[in-house]
Amino acid sequence: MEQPAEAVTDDASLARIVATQESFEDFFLAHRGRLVEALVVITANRGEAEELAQDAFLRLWERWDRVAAMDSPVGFLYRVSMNLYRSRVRRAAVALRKTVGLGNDPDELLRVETRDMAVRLLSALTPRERAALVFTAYLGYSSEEAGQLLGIKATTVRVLTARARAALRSVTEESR
Amino acid sequence: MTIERDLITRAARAWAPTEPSIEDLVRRRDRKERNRRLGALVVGVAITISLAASGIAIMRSETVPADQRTTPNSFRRDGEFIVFAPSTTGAGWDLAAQDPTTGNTRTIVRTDGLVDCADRAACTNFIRKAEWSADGRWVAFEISNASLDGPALGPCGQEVGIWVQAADGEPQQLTTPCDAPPSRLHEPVRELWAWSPVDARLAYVRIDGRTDELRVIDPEGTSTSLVTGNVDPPYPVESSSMAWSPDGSQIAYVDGSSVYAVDVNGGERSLLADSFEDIIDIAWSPAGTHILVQDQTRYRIQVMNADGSDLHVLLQGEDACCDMAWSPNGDRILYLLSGVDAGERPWLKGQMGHSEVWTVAPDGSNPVEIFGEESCDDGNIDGAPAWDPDGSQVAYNAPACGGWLVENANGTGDVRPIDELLWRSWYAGGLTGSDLAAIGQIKH
Repeated sequence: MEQPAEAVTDDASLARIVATQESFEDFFLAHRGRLVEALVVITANRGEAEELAQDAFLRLWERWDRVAAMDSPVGFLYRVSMNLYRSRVRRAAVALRKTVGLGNDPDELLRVETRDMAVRLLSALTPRERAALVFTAYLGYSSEEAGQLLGIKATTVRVLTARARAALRSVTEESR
Repeated sequence: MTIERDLITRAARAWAPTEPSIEDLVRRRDRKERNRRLGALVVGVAITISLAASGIAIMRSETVPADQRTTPNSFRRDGEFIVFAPSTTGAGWDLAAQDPTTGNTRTIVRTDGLVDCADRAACTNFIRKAEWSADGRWVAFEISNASLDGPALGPCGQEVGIWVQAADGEPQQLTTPCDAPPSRLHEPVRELWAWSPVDARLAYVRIDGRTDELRVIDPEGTSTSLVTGNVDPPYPVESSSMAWSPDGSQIAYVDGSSVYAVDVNGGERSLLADSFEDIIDIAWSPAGTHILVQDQTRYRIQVMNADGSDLHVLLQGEDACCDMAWSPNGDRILYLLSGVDAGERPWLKGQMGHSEVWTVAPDGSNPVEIFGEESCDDGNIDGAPAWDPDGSQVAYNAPACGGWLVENANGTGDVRPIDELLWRSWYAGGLTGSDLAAIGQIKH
């Protein structure tokens, strides 16, 4: 069980806490950019990506002594991020149904920055397809790992990735 | 892959999100701490109610009478499924059988000397698949040096291949793919296998680029070649691209864009249908009268008679996804829908989407939604719906909606929590992807 801060009196424990804090900051600085980039593509919403990234890092910070000992703290970071995203989607869906017309358009990608070819191509995909593609092609996870992080089966990841690629090909051909 | 990575990088940078700072996190943490104190009481009450509900559901779960749990000469005790367990004699993972009622495990295959592990997180080969035979007298397992989605973990050694073990015996190796010289494509030999549903015989496909073949192998060592040179399952090999007929008399298999069937006692193969593109799953109906085919590229789930006639589309569209399963009596087909129809649910447009669990008659009539938006606002399930043994219920995992849940297959009644162990006993008797993930064997 974790000890409350007041109970720590010896120098070794204090040194360990300081080292842990430094370690989290290194982790944070090393991964914040890539996480935000991945999330903005998946969510298609700059503000939401920034919020999710902060929430996810905060979750890890609160448990950093245990997270740092994991085999893959980075994988855990992405898993937490996706869990938070799903929770937000659920809440947003409920809210939007109760207040039709008052919610923000969740998919800014469809109307903003459409001059950029990359954004336009990715806007043809569903969020689940974008997530599968981001986790495999961009972050380099295997289908099995991506499935674990996204909370779906590896076969589903492969199906979604294949669909994403087919959709990208289709949009590319149409734009020629 | 590089093109897609560049595409995503460009899109992300065009979007130009702001990276959070450590000061942002500190402020957020302080704000959250204030809110947490206020909400602590509410959360405590909610957890108590949730635990009480789960406990009641587990107590209501069916149990198997003790006198029915072991049969003579049986390796598998009723309902047990295969899991990994830390080896007590080596550095790797043994195979164990887990009781779905008690959760107790017993070691069934000791892997010391078979798998090569510096420690449990660093193996140069591993057991990637393990299944009980239909008669419960054997367990077959496959040792592989190939990671599931990447380069080989280690050399192709003598232990790589398919093994079997009986209740009181030692592991016996049936195949030695590493004996083969490199194929013309310099690809490793690929193996695909499945137990017969009626006895202890294995259907076995070997793809080596020279003498690709389909054989039937008896655990005692007898082997019969059925098809040579005309076997082309999808890559990577998936066991669902080959299927035994329920009576064990035929094997249906994928050869390119076609589905063939061959009698296990020999004879010419017969073409059932060839109008597919990318087949990722075939499954016989329990009575052996129909075959289900999932064509991934064309987004189609199709059904045909066992002789290939009356091929018709059951489901078509980008929602047509995966995890198809015949009901035990074959009158319904369970499937997962994945995605969002923004036309019907505009409020979800652009969002993560829902997974839905449906059943439908084999002719495409009378679709019934088991799990969907009406069941839970966050319909993302982990894609593992399963029938109960009598076909009256369907269980699945909806992590954000209460975890392991069960509903009546006809769509009536309430959603109820279910013990994960019971779901597992319905879902599969062999190792699952979750087992591989749990011990880190897919992290390569």
